[in-house]
Amino acid sequence: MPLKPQGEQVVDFKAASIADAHHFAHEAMATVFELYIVEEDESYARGGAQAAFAEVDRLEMEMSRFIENSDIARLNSALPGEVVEVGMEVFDCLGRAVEIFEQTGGAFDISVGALYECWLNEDKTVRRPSADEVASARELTGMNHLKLDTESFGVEVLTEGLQLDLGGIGKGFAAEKVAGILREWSLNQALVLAGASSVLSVSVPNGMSGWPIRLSNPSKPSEVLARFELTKGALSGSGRQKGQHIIDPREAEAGPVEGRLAAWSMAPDAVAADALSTAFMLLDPQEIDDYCLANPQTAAIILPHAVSGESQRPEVLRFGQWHQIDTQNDKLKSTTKP
Amino acid sequence: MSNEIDRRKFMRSSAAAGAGLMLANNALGQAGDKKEINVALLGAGTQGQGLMNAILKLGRDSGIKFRAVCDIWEKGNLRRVSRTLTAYKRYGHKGTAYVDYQEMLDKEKDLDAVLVATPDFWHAEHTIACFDKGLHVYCEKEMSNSIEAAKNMVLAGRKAGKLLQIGHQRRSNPRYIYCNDKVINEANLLNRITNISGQWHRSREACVDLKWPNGTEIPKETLKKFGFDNMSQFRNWRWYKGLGGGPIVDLGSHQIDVYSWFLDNAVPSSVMASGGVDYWKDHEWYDNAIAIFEFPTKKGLVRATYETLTTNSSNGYYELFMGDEGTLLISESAGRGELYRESWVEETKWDPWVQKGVVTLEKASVKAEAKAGDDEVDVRESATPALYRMPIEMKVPYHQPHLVNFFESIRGNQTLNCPGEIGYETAVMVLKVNEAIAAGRKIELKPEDFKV
Repeated sequence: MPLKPQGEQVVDFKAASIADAHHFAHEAMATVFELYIVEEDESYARGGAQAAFAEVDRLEMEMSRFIENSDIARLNSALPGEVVEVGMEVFDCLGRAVEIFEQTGGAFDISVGALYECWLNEDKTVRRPSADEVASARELTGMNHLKLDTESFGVEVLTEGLQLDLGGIGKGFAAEKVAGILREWSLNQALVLAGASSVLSVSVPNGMSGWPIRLSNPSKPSEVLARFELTKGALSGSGRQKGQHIIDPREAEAGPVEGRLAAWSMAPDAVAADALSTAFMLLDPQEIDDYCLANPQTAAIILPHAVSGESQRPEVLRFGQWHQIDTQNDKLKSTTKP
Repeated sequence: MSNEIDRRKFMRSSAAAGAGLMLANNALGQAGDKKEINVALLGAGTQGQGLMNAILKLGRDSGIKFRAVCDIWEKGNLRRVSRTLTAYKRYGHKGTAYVDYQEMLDKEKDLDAVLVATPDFWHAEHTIACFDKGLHVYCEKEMSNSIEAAKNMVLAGRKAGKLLQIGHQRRSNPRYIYCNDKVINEANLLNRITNISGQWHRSREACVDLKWPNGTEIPKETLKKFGFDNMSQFRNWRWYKGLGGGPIVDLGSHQIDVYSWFLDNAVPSSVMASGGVDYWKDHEWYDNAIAIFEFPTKKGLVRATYETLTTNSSNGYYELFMGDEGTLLISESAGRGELYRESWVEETKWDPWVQKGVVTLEKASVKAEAKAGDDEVDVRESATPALYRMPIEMKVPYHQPHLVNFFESIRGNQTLNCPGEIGYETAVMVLKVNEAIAAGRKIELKPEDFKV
């Protein structure tokens, strides 16, 4: 039940044009983190990358629901009334998750796993749950079941069985921590990729106007939907593979739908970008528009449906600063104005 | 989902049934007379930070209060930890920062205990200085890089009448305690243990020398004062003779300690080993080492191998206990634990332990069957052994149960799971591996070699 399907290239960075960027890669959080760093001293850049990757590994130990003594696993097995002391980072990340849950009317929900388990078989085919099963899954969905004590780092699960999964936000969170470490190392001319779905610019290398990014059709990777240069902030993408279903936590009874093909989000930070790309798979165009208006530094592109004819270009909807620009041809600047 | 809940409920109830096993977790979870314990962190690198975070996650009512932190890397470790403790001010923690440990021990008048997580060659001096001030000490392994210094630590603790816990944290891990108490001792499922093997294989990527951000260097005179030639040596002290002991000490020590523990704290009568600086440049300690120990036990001799690599991560880290009736694989790595019944042993022999909930049967033995057309079954081929699991989880942060055991021992509610005397035995075992490699021969050991 990945909130964000892995292994598909929805955000693509081509480094060929940046001859003097060092590339480092590290497997963590069920994906590959990559860094492009422009720096004269390769061994110094490697040292910074090593420190950054060590932090990602440490965060994974706290955030992975598959590690039995992680903060998230401890929350997932906690009983109501029991305060679970989590680390500062997990506390921050949960706070952001709740915030984005509220901002998106519940479309982004780290507890949506219960609904996926209710509606899908292990092989991801759709099953027919009973009304009772849907009702119980629904009772385990939503951030109202989670209580963050702002006076401490204590978190309480208010309903037994709540299952949290930071899969849709943790990689963005880790990317921000990586950027923080690279700044400490004065390795600012760097780009952070958290798998193929999130990319964060620490800052643009001298002499370049931006990091060249391509967005491609997840069901047809050779088809480039947009090219532009990322100058600051982060961009994330979510995509659905053929036959894959998604569930809108706001409409538990509706069950799995095929929904839209892909959604991309741009935001000032990678945490928001990561979570929003999941939400933009579900929000309707008017809701996305409203969101981007309320949060002027946010932009979205959605790829609504599969196209029937091979030659036909798919329809793409743009929101926020991406609204008016023909992303096929020109180089959109991602500079976001506060 | 429902299966998951059932499984968790089962875990909870079976763990509760497992008698005192949850003691370490609950000891601080109950309200009551929790004498406040003021602690300082001496050595705030990765390991020290891990200890601190495990303590912070005990919550605001744990009764454990940080007062100060000391590290010579002012713009690195010290800044980071001091910042964290400031964020926990509302829990009553305080992160007064010191570069000089002696100054910290002189100025901080209300300390009860110190967590020592400095490089190995400092452990003895730091620990003994704390005992001189009448403080209890939790000291990271390896206890020392010198057998003589390790012995002095135990003696100083005895003289001061203070506790010394050595950081072999598996000794307090509920999963390990369960394997030793239930699987090996109570149920005796392995029967006669004849051999042990174990390994810690680390990838090349994880063993590259550590660097530091420009501008955060420790001043030269400070480095020199505290025994380091330069910043790189400070960051990578584990690889240097006179400072650390190399991977056999950093990694192997944890696991070789478990070998002894699970053999009822037996000590070896000999060790032979091979190793070398074969891959990494500019390192002084062996980057790979393979050791063979002989442990005389009441039930007979146990021969044990151990291997540590720094170039390849295949199969990670685990300890494997082999008896004539069963095999136990255990690892600190979350959730990694397996138990196999030798296929000739009747299933009915293990059934009572399944019924009591001590172990669960996951996969029955599969007998080799004759395929159509085969004239005969090759009877020499053993059937696949049955796979069992231990119904116990480690549901708290690493190191936390061992730290809790230390604090509860200070409060008089528990006894230390790894006192200095035990840490000393393990220090002798692993330091003798390096000695055997250097000597190129088998080293005989006597029981008195392990006594303080």
